[in-house]
This record gives sequence, structure tokens and C-alpha cells, in this order.
Amino acid sequence: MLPYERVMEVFRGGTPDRIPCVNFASVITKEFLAYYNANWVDIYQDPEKMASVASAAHRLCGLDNISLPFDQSVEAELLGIKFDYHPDGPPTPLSFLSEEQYFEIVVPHSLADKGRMPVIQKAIKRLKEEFGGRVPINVIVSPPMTTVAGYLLGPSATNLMMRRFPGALKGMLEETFRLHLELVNLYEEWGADIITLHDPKGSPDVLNPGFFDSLVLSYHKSLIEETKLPTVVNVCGNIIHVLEKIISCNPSAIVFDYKTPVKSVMKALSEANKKIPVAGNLSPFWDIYLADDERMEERVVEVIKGGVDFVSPGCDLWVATPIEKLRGLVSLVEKYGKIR
Amino acid sequence: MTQTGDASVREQLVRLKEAILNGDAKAAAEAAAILKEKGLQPLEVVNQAIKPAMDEMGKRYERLEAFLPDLVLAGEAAQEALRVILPKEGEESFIKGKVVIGTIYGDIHDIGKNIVAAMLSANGYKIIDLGNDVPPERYVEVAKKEGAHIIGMSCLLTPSMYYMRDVIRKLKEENIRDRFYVIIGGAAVYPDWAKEIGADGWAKDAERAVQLCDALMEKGKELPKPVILGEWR
Repeated sequence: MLPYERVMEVFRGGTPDRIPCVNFASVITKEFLAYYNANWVDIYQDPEKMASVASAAHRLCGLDNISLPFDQSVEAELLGIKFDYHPDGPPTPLSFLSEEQYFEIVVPHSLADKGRMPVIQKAIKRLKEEFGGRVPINVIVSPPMTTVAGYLLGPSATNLMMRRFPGALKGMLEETFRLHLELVNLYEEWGADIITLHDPKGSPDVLNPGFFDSLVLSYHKSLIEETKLPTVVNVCGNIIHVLEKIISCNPSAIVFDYKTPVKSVMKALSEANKKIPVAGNLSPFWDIYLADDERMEERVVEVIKGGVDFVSPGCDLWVATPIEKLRGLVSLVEKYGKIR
Repeated sequence: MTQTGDASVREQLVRLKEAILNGDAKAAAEAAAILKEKGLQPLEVVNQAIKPAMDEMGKRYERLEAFLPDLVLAGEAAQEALRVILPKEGEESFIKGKVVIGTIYGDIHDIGKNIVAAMLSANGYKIIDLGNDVPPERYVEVAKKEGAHIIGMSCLLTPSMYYMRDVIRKLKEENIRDRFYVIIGGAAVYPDWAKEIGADGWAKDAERAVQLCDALMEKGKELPKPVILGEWR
């Protein structure tokens, strides 16, 4: 099977020739950048370089998907936050909004020609020309909580606002959500095959789970319903206490990291009597970057035996991960991925 | 001097502790002001209200009875109380040490750093908080200007961790590496990274960050580096 068929077969509930090895989060590494003679500024300004680095994990290591963009600031930039671009890392906001400025957020009328969107559009087009129908193109969307907590207000101020003025925070999320709705439709129109809602700031590790329904889940649900594309939900950290809620949104797949055991996810799915593909739960650091051959093999076998439908890291690749490690990971999945 | 056994003092100490646990900075400042007026020494207020409140909040967090927003608010209330009780003059006689702290360049994640800063404050350290996205040269510049004892760097994003090395490199270039203890923490960095870049210590969480600073301030010259407190995972 081609990677596209292999991955889509899982979303359709079928049985592929083997378990796909993917990453629905960021796939950027220093070696990929060096290979394409690019830095963090280039990959947001040059569609060719964005496409090259987004496909590097497939092209150079054999991963079964392509993922872009590479950080979570695209949405905030569209909402008017100014960024400082660093050659050595993702862009950072020049300043955050104050609590009182939340009503100043303006969602532009047309997003297609704003911020980094033209670069993303061209990169998807370029990838579609080369890989369309052969390797699935995954586009990462940062849902409202990650946009607000990560870049609009900042993590600390968001936490304080959540306690002091939850109504105002909800208003801010609602306002930004109009942008997210348009984004998923644009990505679909431009040819993306998969949408991943990557929401690290919605994690119960940083958020009182009492707020999860209102401030995180409701937006995931609406975005899943908005697009016809397979939509993957990736909430970081220990998500055991919110699994039932995530499952209730009917995502096309659930990604989880090493803090959530595979058996907990399988148990929650069984209790909900639902069959939703799951992707996990390798630690990008311990199980890939730092792992020796033995540990990586042990973990790949463990997650496959645990019942994952995709072998994947639970988060962004560790940027210092060598190409050889990722090749090793893919080889292991090729070797053990047919055992079920 | 007022005795802490005085009923009205005891009442204010309880009030201060509760204000911190409730994340109520205004009430914390008011209680601290009354305690100061009654003649309580800063160290007594810290040991009998601020530190126990922060310790209790840490325990609630571990038991999942409190969440990060609660910790952040408690830290803010503790900082407010400290601002009131610490003398403007002669502050140095009270503090254990000065810590220049910040989230490293390229990274805006400051919750963990803020909690560490609050815990260090509650434990008698003077904090100079540089905020987030702090360029390497800024740590060095401020540490020199303030006569800091410790430089603390936090990092959650892996691409940014490499800037930590630049801070240490800059200290070496200026021949002032021995003047400061450099400690690191945050989800992106791990004990071996501390060793690789030549940091003096790494701590898993805020409580251990306090222990790390205490250890370095008390017998830092004798300890093998880096001092590692806790396990990374």
C-alpha cells in the first residue's frame, strides 16, 4: 500500500497492510533544516522550503505522512499579533495583549492572503503536486485555547483570567474561533488530507479539568463537525480524566503522549463502545531521540501490542533528533506493524 | 517586638495564609501590612504564613486538588505579601540570595518560571524576574548589575534550549563564570543537558528548585556539578 492508502484505510476503519508510522504534530528537526539549507525564518517565507522540510520526515526517513506548518503561531499572527522571527527557533510574539484588550481582536475578512497563509497555500499546492494521493498531507491547526494562551495573552495571564474573568476569556475564545472555522475550510479547499487539532494549552496538565468542556472541547467538537476531512485531536499531557469527553466528539483519531497509558485509552474507548483510531504514544525524547535500539524496539512493540492504530510520537519531534533514529523507528514499525 | 502568640497576630497570619491559598493578592497585602505594623519580622511572616501556604498549595497541586491557575494566583498573592513585608532598606540582611530568573530566548512559557520565582521568594530569595523570551546577554547584564548569586533559566520549547548554552558561554567569555551559579529547569531540559552546557544545577520542580538554590548558596563550592534534584519524566 502507498502511505496515503495505508493512513486513510485506518481512518475508514479498515485494515491496512501494516500499522502506519506517522507524526500528526510538527516534524521539524535540525538535520532536516540543514539538509534543505533552511532556517526557521526560511520555512515561513519560502513555500519551497516549507514544503521540503514538511515532507523531509517522509522523504528522508519513510514516515507515512507529511505535516505542516511547524509551530502554533499562524493563527495568532492572523489575529494581529506581531512576531519576532528567529533563525534558530519558532517565532515569538513581540508582546501579548492585556486582559482589557481582548475586545480589540479583529478576525480579518479574508484569511487567504494574510500572514503566512499564502506561503502555506503554495506549500500545500507544491506538496500536492509531488505527493497527492501517495502521501497524506496533514495540516496542524492550533485551536482557540492554544492560540489565546500561547500567543494572545500568554500562558500565565490566561491562567489568571480563567480564574478571575472566565466569562471574558470565553468571549475571547469565541471571537478567535471564527478564524479557526475559516482556517479549516481553507485548508480543505487547498488540498489538505488531514486536519490535526493540536492543543497543548488545552491539556488538563495546565488547565483545571472543570474548564475543559467549555474552553477546549466545545471548539474541538465544532471544528470536527465543520470539516469533511479526517480530523485528529492531539491534547498533550495526561488526558485520562478527559478521554471520555474527547471520545464523545467523534474525532477521526486521538493522539496522546507518553503520560497517558495506551491501556487507559483502549479502556475508555471500550467503555464508550466506540472504535476511534488511536495514535501514540512514544516520547519524542526518551523513545526516539535518546533511545538506544533496544529501548526503541521495546516501546514500538509495546504500543503495537497495546493496540494503537498509528505508531507515533505524542508530540512534536525533538528538534535534535537524528535522521538515523527516525529511519530506525520506521524500520521497526515495518517489522512489527503486521503482528496483529 | 510583637509576639506571634498574640491572638490578633495569629489571626492575621491565618488570614494571610488563607489569602495566598485563595489567590487573593489584595487580602494577602492587607494582612501582610497589618503584620508589619504589629512589628513582626519578615522572616517570621515568611516562616509562619507565606511558606506554609505555598507548601500547602504545592501539596494540593500534587493531589490534583489544585491546578496551575491556582498555583499561579497563589504565587502572585505571595509575591504581593512579600513586597509589603520586605524592608526597602537593608533588604540584603534578610535575603538568602539574589536570583535573576527568566524564560529563555524564543520561548514564552512562563508559568513554571513564575511558580519557581514565587516559591523562591517565599523562601527568602530576592527575585529579579526578566520575564520571558530573554536574550542570553540580558541574563548576564542584569546578573552583573544586580550582583546576583544565581541565574535561573527556564525552557519549554526544544529549539530554545540551545540559547542556555549561550548564557554560560557569555559568562565564560567575560571571565565571570565563577561569580554566579547557573541553574536550569522546564519541560524541555533534562539533567544531561545541564551537564552538557556546564550548568551548576537542574531541578524537576519548584520545590526542588528551592532546595537546589539552598544547597548552592550553603555549600555550592564543595558540591560536584551539576547538582541534580529529581528525575526527569
